[in-house]
Amino acid sequence: MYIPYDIVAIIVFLMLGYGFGQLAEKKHYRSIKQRENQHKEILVFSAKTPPSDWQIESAELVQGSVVVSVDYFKRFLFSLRNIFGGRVEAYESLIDRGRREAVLRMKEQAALSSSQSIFNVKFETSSISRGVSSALGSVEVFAYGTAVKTTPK
Amino acid sequence: MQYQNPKLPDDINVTRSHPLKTFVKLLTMAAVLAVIVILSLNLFAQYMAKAIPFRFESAIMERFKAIDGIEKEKPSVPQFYLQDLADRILAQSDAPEDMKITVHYSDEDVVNAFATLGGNVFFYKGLVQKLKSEQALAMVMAHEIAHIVNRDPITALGRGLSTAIALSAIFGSSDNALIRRFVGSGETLTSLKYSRDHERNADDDGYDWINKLYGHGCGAEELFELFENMSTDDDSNLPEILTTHPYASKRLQRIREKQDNTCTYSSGKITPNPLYKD
Repeated sequence: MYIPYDIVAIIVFLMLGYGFGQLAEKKHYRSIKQRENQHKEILVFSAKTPPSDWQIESAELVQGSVVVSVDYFKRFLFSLRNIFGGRVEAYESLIDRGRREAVLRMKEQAALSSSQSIFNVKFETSSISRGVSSALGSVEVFAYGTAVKTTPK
Repeated sequence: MQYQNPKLPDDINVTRSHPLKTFVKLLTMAAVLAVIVILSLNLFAQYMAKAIPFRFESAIMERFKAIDGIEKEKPSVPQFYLQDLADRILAQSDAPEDMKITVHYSDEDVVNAFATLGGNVFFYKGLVQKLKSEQALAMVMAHEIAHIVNRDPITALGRGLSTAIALSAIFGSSDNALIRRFVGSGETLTSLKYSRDHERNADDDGYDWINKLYGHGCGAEELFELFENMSTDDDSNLPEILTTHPYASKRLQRIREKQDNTCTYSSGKITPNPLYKD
């Protein structure tokens, strides 16, 4: 009996990629939501400086960095999107997870110094598999800002 | 002033559409696109190939002669015999005036014969010595000549090149070997389908010509009996959709349906093949 082994392999990889990828994503989102709730007291601002009437006790640089990789299934979807155009839904959730996770890691660092807020928050996103055509796409999301500890009035 | 972090909404930055739904939709679109491209280019190639003058084909082949050492071929008795057979069959066909068949004979034991661009037909000793009757040998020759008269080699070349270029232009840019593999399979399956059609037509035309030449088609079946006996287990395990030729058994059946009952008592009608070796 003739079996096209390479196609079977591709389908198996797709199924594995889909199964594990979805599982990992669901698990990650659960963790993100739970930790976002846990750190909701630490406020994040894009403003450069705290309001002038705040009593600042200390300020320090905090940062959170995360690297996420796509799975085989998402990559397949992406290459199909390359032909027809449109929203790359598969990668949107990837970047969303990356950004939120980076903010959380930054907040966790701020929590260590009991800071209540982080100002001047900025993001940097970079592909770390760029130019390597055989590599699966991985993205690094880096968030940084100034954590500020205020004294109660 | 009271500050607070909002709870992030789930559905704005991330689409909650099911990935499998997108997958099926995109894959269907890609499949439809590939089918349209492959079929339309195939039809176009089929049409265009007939418009290419035969002398262009010969000109293409001239360039390869030096590479393949065809020029160094020494004339041999089998080659003269086969060339004469070819000319007699060609006279029965409706080939255009300028179409010439050049027979090449190779001393190898391969059981094969094939036709290629420029009216070149190659015969291997292995096949020539296996056939008992001239009619069976004529069936091979007529089949290969039919390929040339029907312009199959140039059609296959034009079709192969144009689809390969078009598909790599559309799907080659996506950095995923996966899609190319799928599209490539579709392309292969289509070309195999055309290949089987060509073979079937070549069988039909070839049979008609030897029927005209000898006044009967008896003896032609020997060729397909040989193929049927030769088809190994591996071959027969391959579904027909993945083969270049229709199954030998089907080809044999098709020939038998054409032959009338007089072939059953055909011993007097069959000419022995002078090149046959036990």
